[in-house]
Amino acid sequence: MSVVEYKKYCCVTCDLVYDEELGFPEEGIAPGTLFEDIPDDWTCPECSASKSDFFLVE
Amino acid sequence: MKPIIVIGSGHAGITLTRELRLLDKEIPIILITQDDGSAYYKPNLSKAISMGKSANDLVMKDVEQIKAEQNIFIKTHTKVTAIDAIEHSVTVDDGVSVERILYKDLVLATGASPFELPIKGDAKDQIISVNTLNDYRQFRDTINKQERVLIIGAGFVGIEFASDLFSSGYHVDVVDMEEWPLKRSLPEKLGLSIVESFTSDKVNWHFGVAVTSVDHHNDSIEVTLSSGKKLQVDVVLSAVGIRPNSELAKAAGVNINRGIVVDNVLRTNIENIYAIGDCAEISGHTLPFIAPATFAAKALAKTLLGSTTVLNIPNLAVAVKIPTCTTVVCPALSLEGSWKVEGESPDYVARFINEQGEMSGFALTGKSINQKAPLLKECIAPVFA
Repeated sequence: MSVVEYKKYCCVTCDLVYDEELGFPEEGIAPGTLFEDIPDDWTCPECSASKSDFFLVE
Repeated sequence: MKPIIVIGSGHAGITLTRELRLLDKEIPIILITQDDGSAYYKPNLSKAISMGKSANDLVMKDVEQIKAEQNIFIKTHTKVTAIDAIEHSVTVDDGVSVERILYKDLVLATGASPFELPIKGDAKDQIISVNTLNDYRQFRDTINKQERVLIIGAGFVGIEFASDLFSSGYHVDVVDMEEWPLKRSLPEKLGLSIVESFTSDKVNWHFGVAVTSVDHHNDSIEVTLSSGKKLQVDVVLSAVGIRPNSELAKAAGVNINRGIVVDNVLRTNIENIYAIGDCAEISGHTLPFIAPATFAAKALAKTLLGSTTVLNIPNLAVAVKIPTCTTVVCPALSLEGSWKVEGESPDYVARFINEQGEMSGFALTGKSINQKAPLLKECIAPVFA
């Protein structure tokens, strides 16, 4: 069994961070949801930027 | 090849240049700005004091990072003094020299400036507005070691500042002509929930009155209200809204109403001149908040690169950052209609029903904010004719 390596993604407009490990439960996105599994029409809960406006935090 | 010139390095301008570069690696782009060109998230200005953040802490990218990432020219501390719509040129002045630059397309992203109220008194020039990162830098210096701040205006910015300053230990007075906060965006019950959420006597509300005079009084500032009441404070902050910056456009013959008038592809009446962000009036509406400017920048980038794209903005919910009373607002495009409120204080669901009987906006407080997603779907989408 492999351990999932969770990643973080940051919104280019407002700097909000999506942490896959934590999800966004209050937005209906469960902890552990991979960024790629978030629907494409999802928008940033802070500034409404598109999913494509998030970049991978190295 | 003549460049696309963008005037203004706020959210609208910087997002536009980024989107243009994402779509076209070659096209020359010049961004002209009167400030230092740093990118910051403007909504943070009204919530950064309690986070302990300085102006520099709020900078997300400095001008060198933006130049490198976007591969564009940025002229900082430079004022555009004139537009020649016949020759397709702008005249710019950086304080050292004046030059003319030809453009292929010109985009006005000149933003908006704080309204100035007709207030009297020998300390009226002490009234502060926080509309830019530089304003925030000065505001932070001014309130340092002070205790009492009076805020004029209980709109989004005013109540966020009230909350931010209160939670940072300040004594706060809020003055508004209306009867409850955010009156344009939510009904009375929700407004009162916000007011009641501040249980401390360190926050005092003065509704239904205006500030008439601001005067020096010993070591304080004395604020006189239209009721005759006088309040002694240290700092006066005005948060009564903003007015589109349209003078430059007007001088070039661009149609102006409340803002720079553009159609649903963000075009002005003059060929090759466009406007986006807080300076623009799109199909009769000025569109505050960050998100509409993001959508406008993306649509305009496509239009400028040859694929004419009509602005299409989905319903958007804006979170008002008041920790004592979580509030989410989806503002209706038109204010004609009435509110329908359900729930108990402080957990309200308020639907705005337009004259056609459709739900065109909503507001949520307390635990009801978990209704945001279904209500966004229930709401009719704004249409820009």
